[in-house]
Amino acid sequence: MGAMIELVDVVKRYGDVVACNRLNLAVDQGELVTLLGASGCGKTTALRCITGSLRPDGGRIIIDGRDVTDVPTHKRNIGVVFQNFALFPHLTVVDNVGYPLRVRGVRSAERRERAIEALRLVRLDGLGGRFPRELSGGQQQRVGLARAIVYEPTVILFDEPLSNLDAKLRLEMREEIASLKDRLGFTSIYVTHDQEEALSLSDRIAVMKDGVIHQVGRPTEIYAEPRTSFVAEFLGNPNRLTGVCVERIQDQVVVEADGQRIVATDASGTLAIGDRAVVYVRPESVRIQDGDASPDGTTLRATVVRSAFLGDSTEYILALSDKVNWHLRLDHATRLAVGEEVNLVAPRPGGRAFALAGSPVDGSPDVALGEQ
Amino acid sequence: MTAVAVASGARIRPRLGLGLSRLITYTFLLAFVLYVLSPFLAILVTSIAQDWFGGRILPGSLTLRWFDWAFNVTNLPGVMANSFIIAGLTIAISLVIGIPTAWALGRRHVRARNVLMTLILLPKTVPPITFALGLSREFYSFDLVDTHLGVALAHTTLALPFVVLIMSATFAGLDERVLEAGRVCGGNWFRNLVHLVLPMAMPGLMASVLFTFVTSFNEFTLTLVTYGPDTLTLTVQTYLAIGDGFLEVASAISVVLLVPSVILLLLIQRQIRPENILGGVKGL
Repeated sequence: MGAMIELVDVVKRYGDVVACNRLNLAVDQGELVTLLGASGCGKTTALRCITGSLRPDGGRIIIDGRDVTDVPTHKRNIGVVFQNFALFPHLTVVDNVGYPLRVRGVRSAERRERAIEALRLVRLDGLGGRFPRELSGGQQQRVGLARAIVYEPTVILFDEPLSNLDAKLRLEMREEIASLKDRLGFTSIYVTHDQEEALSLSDRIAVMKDGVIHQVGRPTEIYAEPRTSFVAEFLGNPNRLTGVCVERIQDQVVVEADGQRIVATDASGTLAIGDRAVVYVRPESVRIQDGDASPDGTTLRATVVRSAFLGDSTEYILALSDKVNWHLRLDHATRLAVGEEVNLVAPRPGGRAFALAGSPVDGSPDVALGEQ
Repeated sequence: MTAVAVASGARIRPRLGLGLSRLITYTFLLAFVLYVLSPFLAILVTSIAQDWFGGRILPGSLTLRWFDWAFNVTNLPGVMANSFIIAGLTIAISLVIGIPTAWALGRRHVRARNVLMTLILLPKTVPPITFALGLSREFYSFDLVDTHLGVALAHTTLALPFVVLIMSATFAGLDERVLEAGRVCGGNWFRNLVHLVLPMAMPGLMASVLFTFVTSFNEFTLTLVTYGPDTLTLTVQTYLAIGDGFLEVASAISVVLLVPSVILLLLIQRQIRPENILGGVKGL
């Protein structure tokens, strides 16, 4: 079970911009690892270094134990599913899927047979004779998928494969990719900016920003235990509170903001009393406390500002102060009125606290977030 | 209310205006068509007419004698062969120079790209006779006058801009991701060129070949300063026949000269539609 794809200290610069800053990542056999980040974070650059379309300025790329850093794209034996499908417009669907076999010298009859088999796998039976332009977007991406798996490449790379599809198709194709991966067991790197896609598909996720991988981990891990404030902020839609660290209880700290206090896990373990800190709390881990505020002073007082009925639940906007609004989803068993005052608690593990300006976390540059 | 008013107005108005506007439209159209077609008509009729002098509206009788003369007296087959050989050479040279140039201009960041483009277009924008004069001096010093290669090189200066313009637009229109897909699939540059780039660029290539052919086949000014007895082309032969006073023979040669252009026109009308091959791919 060695690593099938390894990035070792990969660096890529565009002029003064460092698109990939010493990336290190190992993807195991049969694993799907997502590079997740906003556009411009360097994830696509990283992918293009792996395909060989870009030559990294530093570091090595190793696929299946072979250093391919200086190997041209066509000798890397990789499959790529492209965002814009990138089908060959002048070839029929069968010939599109058969092209990788054709350049590998597979004879026409076998080529056809294997292409049709791959098309069956992506449920496009019977459409082999059509041209790409005669297919819908979803069908075209299935052809792209078939073309990437037909020659059983060492690894398959997905370059935002669902971005050009509408919401419903996106869900369907996500399922398709997940089930294909289960059946075929391919090793893959998947690039996306869509966190839901990443969380649902991936074995592991590497969250990227400004050319740096901030954290690599299982989706649940990344979501529940973000290691940098960027990861905490980027995944989900967390509530935040900025204040000063006033107390430490083992791995937890108490952060005070505008006279309110909250207990949170010290994510980096480096917060000292008096440090400015930002606390992120997932809306689903916030509870409404019945009755009075708890005596330890770690409940938050908030006023209901607005509510929005969402069908299965209701979303409330709660003001903790003039500047800080939190949001909270409640089922219909609890109803709050606008203007009502409530006490909020975030039971363990609760929120996660990060230094606002301080030492870098795990060699990553500190992500300074502007104060609200 | 408003919709009804507009609808009824639209129904009555055109009926009043239709007759007159139609009449005007068709009159102008007819005048234009006559204006464009009458020279051709004159040539066609002259080439097969006998006893067509002195204000007669229609020729006395029809004959193929002028074609016979053209073929036997002026050695039309040999002249045609020259025209074809020179056109073929022009196509070859233009593509060999034009395709790499177009690739560079269409797909890479080229410094001073505009200067380069202006330079390529220069032979087409200056007065032909000025350019011809300079060219002939050059060609005499290189012993290129009265060689097929020499005439073809002269024609290339006019055909190359077409090729570069058409092919650079064609190459610029190729999707980089599709070419990348070809490499990812395992195709080396040669296989991708043969199986992907060439077929996708085929409409542009066809257009380049046809335009180059017609440019060379119909070229006159530059040919006049570079031809010789061994490289007489159809256009120059027509000119010489006119100069000799054989208007009927000149017309017969002109008719032969017209054939490729007419074929090209028909081809353009029905064949060359890049979108037939490239268009309609979703998600681009």
